[in-house]
Amino acid sequence: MKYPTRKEELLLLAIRRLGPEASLVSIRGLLNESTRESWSVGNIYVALDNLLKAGFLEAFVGEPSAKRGGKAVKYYRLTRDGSRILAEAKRVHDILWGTASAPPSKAS
Amino acid sequence: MTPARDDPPKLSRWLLNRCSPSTDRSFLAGDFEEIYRALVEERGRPAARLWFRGQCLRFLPRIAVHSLFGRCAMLLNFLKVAWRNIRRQWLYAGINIVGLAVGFAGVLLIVLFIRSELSFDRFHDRAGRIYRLNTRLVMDGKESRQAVVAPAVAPAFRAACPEIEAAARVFMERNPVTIGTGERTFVEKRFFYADPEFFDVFSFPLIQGDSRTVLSEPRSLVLTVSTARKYFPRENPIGKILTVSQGLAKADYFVRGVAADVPVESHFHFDFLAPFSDLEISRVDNWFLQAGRAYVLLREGASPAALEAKVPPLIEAGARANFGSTENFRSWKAEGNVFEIFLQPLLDIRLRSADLAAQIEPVGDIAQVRIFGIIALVVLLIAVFNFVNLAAARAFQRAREVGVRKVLGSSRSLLVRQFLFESFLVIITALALSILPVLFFAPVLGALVGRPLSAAGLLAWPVPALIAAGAGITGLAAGAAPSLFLAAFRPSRVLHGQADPYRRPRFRGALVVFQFALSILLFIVTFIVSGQMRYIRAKDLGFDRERLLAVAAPPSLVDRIDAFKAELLKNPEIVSAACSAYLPGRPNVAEDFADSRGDQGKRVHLALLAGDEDFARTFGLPLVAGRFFSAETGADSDALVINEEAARRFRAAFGWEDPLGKSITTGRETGTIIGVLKDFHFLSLRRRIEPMAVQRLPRSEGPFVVVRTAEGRRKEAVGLLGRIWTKFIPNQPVDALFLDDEIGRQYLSEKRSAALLGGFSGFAVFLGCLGLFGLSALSVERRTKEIGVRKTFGASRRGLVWLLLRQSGAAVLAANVIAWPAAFLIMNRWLQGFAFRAELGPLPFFAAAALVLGLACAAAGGTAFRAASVDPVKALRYE
Repeated sequence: MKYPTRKEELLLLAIRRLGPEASLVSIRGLLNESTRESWSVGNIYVALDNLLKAGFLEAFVGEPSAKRGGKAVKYYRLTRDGSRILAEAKRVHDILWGTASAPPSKAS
Repeated sequence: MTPARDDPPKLSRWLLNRCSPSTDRSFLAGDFEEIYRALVEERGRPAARLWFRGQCLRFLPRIAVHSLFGRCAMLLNFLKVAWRNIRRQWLYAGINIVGLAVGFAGVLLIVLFIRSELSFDRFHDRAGRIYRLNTRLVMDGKESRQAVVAPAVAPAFRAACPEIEAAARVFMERNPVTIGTGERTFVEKRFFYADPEFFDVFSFPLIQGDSRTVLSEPRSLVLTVSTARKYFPRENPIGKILTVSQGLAKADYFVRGVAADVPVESHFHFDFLAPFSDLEISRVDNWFLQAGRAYVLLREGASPAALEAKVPPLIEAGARANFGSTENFRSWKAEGNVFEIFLQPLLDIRLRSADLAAQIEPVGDIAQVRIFGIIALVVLLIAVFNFVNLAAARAFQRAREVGVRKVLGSSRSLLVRQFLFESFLVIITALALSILPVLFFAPVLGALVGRPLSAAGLLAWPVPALIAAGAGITGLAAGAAPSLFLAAFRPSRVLHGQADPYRRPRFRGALVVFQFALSILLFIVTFIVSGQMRYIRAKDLGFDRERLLAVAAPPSLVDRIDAFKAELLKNPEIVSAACSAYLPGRPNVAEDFADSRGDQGKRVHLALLAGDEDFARTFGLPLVAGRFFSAETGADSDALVINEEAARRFRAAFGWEDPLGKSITTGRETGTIIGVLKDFHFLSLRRRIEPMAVQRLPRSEGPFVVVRTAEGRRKEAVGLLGRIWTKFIPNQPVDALFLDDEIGRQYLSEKRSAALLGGFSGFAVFLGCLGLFGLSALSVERRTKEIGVRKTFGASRRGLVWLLLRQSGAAVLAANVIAWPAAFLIMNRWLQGFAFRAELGPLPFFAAAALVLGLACAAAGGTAFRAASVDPVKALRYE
């Protein structure tokens, strides 16, 4: 099985964490917050679209709202394949980390 | 409908909308808007708008790639197909890539040149607020517009107009100056004087010294870095003394500052700067003594028109010194005379002041820049036409591939994308390849235009954007035509071999004709320009310039000039020698003369030259009547020798049948006419011969010694001059110049244009032939079967070649119909600019047509001949 790229992995994790609230805007907010970088909309959109086409995600349409200029929102959710690939990634991560504790983050 | 206050930027939103994939368009717009609104609350509207625009820019390329190719797999597939196509048809791919690369290289070189022309004087921080004061003078119905003003003007303006922030007068020493440290002595030609505010107006950075004080004390000197290094290779130049000698004057100057070298793209270049107040003329209060330039820096927001409105009263006040009273000046003006001072933006000086006389350095011409812009466009067009034509013609070969792809379910848009991708691939490869010739030829082009051009200019804004835009448009144009047309095939018909995708020959034929027309046009222009140059070079100036050698005489030579001449004449290499204050083509003084005994109001404008008794003999000027100056000391000091044109004017103005013995006066000086010289071109050939008089040069003044060398002994004469020079002036280098070179320099810009034109016409025609070669090869290939059938039925080889060449021949002939009238109109106008011009005959037209026809036949002939020689059995078995 192909492993997701780091960006894809982060996106999948964010979607898992956000649950039913996972839209492009909320995903970007979470990523900005956790990585302390500013993610561009295009970057996220293209990656999400690729994950969608690969079958790791599925999309459903939410309600339009005024703060979105009357436009509907597109929510994303993991498919079974998506959950599986995420679990697989976590398994590999755990094995590779072993019992070692994570080194302190550079940016603290 | 007006947008709500907190809507995102309109243009960016529209762009985003256009570029988003249609399925997600509304979601994406919503996402953007949501984030934007959150940002407005958090960081305010400007920051949010900025973010929106930035996002838009970052979003577009990503989304473009994403929607064109989806994932990388598609891109790889496109690459693979493109590579296979290139390999299978390497000849066409090669012609395409090489042709485009050559075309791009030509265009990039021209862009380099144009960029350099357009960037003149832009390095000054306040360039947009700097203006030069120019003079417009109409006297006796003669108008002169000059880039000079009187030294008294700028201070008066500065005092009267609060909108002037700073003003600087600049004076360039026309005559060579000898400068020495004691150890080293050089003859310098770029010695300038300037006011202390020079450094406030212009942005010439000082490396050493304080810009506020370097020019404020008399006898201070600012050097440029390279000049400083030349005189003081290992020392700090500040505080050192340089001895400046000029004419008889000699003075010690203190070096107080070192400025960075003047950029190439400046309209004047100084090596030395001395205080303007050191000049005698700086204190002369005469508004009609036009000497030196003046530049003003206007305050932020001040309008030059408002300043110009204040000028007339200032001029009236200033002219009082000359006219005695304002009333006199007014009545002088009432006679139709005009004296005006106007402002010219600094940024217009390089390209928009060709009509102004007395420039510091030769200026460029916006017309020339436009012409080169047009040539760039023509070269690009020809290259692109080739590309389009070949791609369209090649479509035939790919019809089957397209058919199969369509049957297998490829959508039309996917096919279009694939062709666009291929055309962009070719263009990018060509662009990359073109960098090499650009790097190689940039210095060559620099030598041609007379200043260094570095390929680094291509990286300066906005050139990269232009290149990207140009490549994009080329790619779209070249890719769109064949791709749309191929993608529209009916697969079933193509696969049955019924459809002839090689339709629309009319469109392609028109392109070919147009291409040839452009080539012919360029050739005609080249022929006529170089013909005119030859004409000027061969034109009889009225004197023999081939063997004339001139050298500037320094003050230390002045009292020994007779001995110097005698020493020179002892040698057989030198036929004669004369002192002269005049060199052909150099600016000279002029005065208005009246009949000494007649009406003082009737005047003839005479150019004044000055020479000694050997002047006429050395220049080889024949006398028509009277005699030249006598060799006796002190004789003929008030004698004048005029030219035939002056005699004609005198006849018209004063009614003199024979001017000999008559006396003329300027009011201050009076002279007697003793001889008439045959007319000769003492000015540029671009101008008519004007009335002129030669004065007797006083013994003690000899700015130049002119020497006529013996036939074929040029080189020896230069060596000899050097030896004798060293004997007389041991510590100074000799700086001799040949007058034919000097005269040639006046036509340098035309000569350069001719060379550049020739080069780029070559480019264009090479490209045209390359395209024709490709096209004819394709057309022959397409007609292989036809040729086989014809041969079987007994067609001769010659008949077949004729059949195949007929088309290209017809295209060239048709092209003449477009090219000839266009060329005639353009060149007729260009030639009007010369007072003496070669006749515009039919020869260049026929020559260009024949040349292009020959080249076209050569390009198409090879393939045609080969096709006609093939064994018909092979040809019939084809496919």
